[in-house]
Amino acid sequence: MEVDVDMLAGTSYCAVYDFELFPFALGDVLTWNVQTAIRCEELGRKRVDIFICLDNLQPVFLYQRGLVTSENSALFFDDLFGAFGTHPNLGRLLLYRRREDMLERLRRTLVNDVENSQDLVNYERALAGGEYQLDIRNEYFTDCIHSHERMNSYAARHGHIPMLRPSMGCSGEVSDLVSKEFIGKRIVTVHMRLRRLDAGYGAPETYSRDSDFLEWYAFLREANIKHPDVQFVVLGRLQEKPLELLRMPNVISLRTWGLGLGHELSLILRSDLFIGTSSGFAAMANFSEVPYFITRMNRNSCLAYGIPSGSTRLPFGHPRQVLVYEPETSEMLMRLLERGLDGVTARSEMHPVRQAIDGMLMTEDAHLP
Amino acid sequence: LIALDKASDRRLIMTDRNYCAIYDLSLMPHALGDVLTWNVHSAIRCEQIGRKWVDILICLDEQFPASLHRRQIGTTQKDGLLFNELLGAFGTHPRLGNVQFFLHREEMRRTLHELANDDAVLSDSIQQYERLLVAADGNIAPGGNPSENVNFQGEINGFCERGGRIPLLCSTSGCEPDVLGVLKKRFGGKRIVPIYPHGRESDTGGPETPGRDEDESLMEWDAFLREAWQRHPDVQFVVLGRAPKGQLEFPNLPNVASLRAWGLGLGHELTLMLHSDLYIGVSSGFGAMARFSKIPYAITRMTQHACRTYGIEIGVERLAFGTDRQFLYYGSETKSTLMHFLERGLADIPIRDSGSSLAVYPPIDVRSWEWERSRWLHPGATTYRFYDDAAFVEKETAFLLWPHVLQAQAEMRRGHNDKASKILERIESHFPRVCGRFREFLELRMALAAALNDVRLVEHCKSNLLRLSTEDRGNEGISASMTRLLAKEFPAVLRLGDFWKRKYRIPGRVVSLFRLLWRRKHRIPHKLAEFLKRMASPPSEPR
Repeated sequence: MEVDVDMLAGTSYCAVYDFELFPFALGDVLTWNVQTAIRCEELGRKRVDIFICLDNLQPVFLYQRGLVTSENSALFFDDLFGAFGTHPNLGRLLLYRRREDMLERLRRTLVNDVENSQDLVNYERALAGGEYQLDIRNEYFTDCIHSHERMNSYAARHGHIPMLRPSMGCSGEVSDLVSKEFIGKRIVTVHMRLRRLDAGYGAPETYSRDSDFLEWYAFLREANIKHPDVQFVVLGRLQEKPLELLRMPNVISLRTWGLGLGHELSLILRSDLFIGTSSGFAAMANFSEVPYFITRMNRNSCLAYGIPSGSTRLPFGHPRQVLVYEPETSEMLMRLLERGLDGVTARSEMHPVRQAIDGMLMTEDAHLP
Repeated sequence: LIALDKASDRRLIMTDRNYCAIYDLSLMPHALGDVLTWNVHSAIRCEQIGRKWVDILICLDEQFPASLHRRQIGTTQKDGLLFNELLGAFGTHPRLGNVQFFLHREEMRRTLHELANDDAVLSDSIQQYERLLVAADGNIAPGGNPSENVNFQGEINGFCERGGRIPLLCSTSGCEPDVLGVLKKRFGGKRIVPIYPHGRESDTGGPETPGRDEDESLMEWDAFLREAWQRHPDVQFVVLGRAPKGQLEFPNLPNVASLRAWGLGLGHELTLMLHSDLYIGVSSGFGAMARFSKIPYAITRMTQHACRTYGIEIGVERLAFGTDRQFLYYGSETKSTLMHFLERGLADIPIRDSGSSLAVYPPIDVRSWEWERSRWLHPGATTYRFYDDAAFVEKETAFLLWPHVLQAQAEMRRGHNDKASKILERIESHFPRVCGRFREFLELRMALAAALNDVRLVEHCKSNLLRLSTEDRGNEGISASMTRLLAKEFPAVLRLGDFWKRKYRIPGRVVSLFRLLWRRKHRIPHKLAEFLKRMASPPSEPR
């Protein structure tokens, strides 16, 4: 078997996510995916090779120290891993546990690649500055992730942005779930942020962004009576979900099935509607075609999105993708649900062709040892 | 470079280069046992060629039928790995280096060839891998099914015969703090026995277990666990693996728990196994974790297939690298055999002296809740939530409702009794049981009812509060009550701590405050004039 080693060379853009410079945060990883996909397209490349640096011997992102340590950083990464798999132009995903190995590999790969080398230079500059030059690091973070400027101007030029995809390795299981377990249902993925319940995950300074449990509970209870065909799928760690909520008949969490973040992100793309607070999972909806209502929008969110305060749509959003500023109440959430599901019918029984395909796949699986 | 092998205390001469090992998920099995066996095998290979770390290259090409992408929930084997479990399984590698994922096989082959330019060892591995690919493409495997090439147990046994040891699996990276938290805070003072009662579909009803099915075995397990609770209440069983179809509850026995129900994953389970006192379970993925570790085990339901996989003759009770406390059992489980395994396995193992676990304080005391849960949080751990009983659920719900109670309190202070009443009524309509045990809620409800002259409601609240006082009296001593009283200030202490952690922001904040003031300096004359005017004007009449 001959391999044309040069066949794929020069078509990739190498992007680095270093956990000393960037945080362990879902929204940031998803935004970074889109930012690098745009950079990849601007450079005329086909795929993005993701270089992730998770070096135990190096400090983590400045604002997460104390929470993320060398002993648990791998777990934080594991929890986030599925997010990298949603990249619009994913090529390779390389996880380095020694920064030196990564730098050596990058230098070798980019030796004749002037455009991509510039990104490596910027990365090394941000690293070299250390914590004494916070400005350089902040500027690097803003440029690579936080600022939506590049995205918005790309959308203005092309009328769209690269969209996130189902997370790698999860599409089969999610398709199966949708076609078998949610028959006769309309799927609404929801994210109520209740970080103050999940004390182990830190970030007490962000508790103000939490949702109102009572309003959500009242809404879900009423929805069970008014719209029993709606299946709500709560997103995020089980530890952040009130147990009262998980026991409701119209609410499930994929985590109780043993599935993970990648599956949840993939399910958002297959759902009929997403309702959630402006937080990590909202980024998945932002960078997709799924209809959504993103609640708890405020001035800071608008600043980050690069839109005027009060705008109800992102520059690349379509009419069924709406930003909501008014406080979450059960009445408001019900209104959003009914508006979002207007014209959406419940999933019907499995199509015969789909059944046949599933049957074939089952036979193939049976041959596995 | 010289490295110390922790398992054998031997010094190994290493080169600085990593060994690249390939795991093609569209070609090799997705099962946990296979990945763990492969981990040990590649660690052996790494040692043999004098390298320090193993770089794992994983291919997930969706074009190929057996790929993880094509997996379906209903058809996966019970010990088949889900995508989110891959890092948990590969993370136990004894010599884990870097991990690389490829979505296209061609891309992986390109990378391999790049890396192999000046690496003869890798060139050999690539040749082997490509032979496997040719065999898989043509369905003519050299020596049978291509996936059988993943069965490396023979080589592992050979390595052990030569060196008297094998590299053992490690805790999954990142999971130690959480697991130590579970052991100390939840299972303190207990002997830990992880169990895996579910057999693989291919293992049930085989020639060695005629007429048995999964349900029968599970019934024996259930009876065993119930009897163990009576006879050995200091033993804590942990059921491993995913719950069937989103089921949240596990066997409702006080001596049985599941890490999955608390939001923990495969990596945590594998790590917990290494800290446990004994493993009892069927020959499966978790059995592989036990086999490649030092923990005592009894692996049940050994079959012909399992013996072939382990590279041993049928009937052999111990693996070549097994210890005296690690043995294999060929029959099906019954209550009495399981009890025999338990008592034999735990003989001489003392009760842990790491103190007793912290129980949930039954009354709802919302103001000390943050302190109470902080006691369950082990340093470095990412979760404290090891409980799902009724008392815990109620306390958690009360904590989430607390801001609304405070809001009602504020409304009452402002004289808006109707508004306050509405808030409390709404809470009560959704959570009547919690409200009946929520002291702060009842006190406020009573005060409001008194203000509105609702005598019946006042009496109702009063009787509830009286009942709570009687119940609380038996729960804690004076010192514990005092601690709990002080703990009400815990949130303020936390906030102060957080503020102090971010002290580096203070200079920046002060500078921005001055900048803001400077930008608004034009307002100063106007504000000053207003202030002077107010000072000069006569005081207004009181309303």
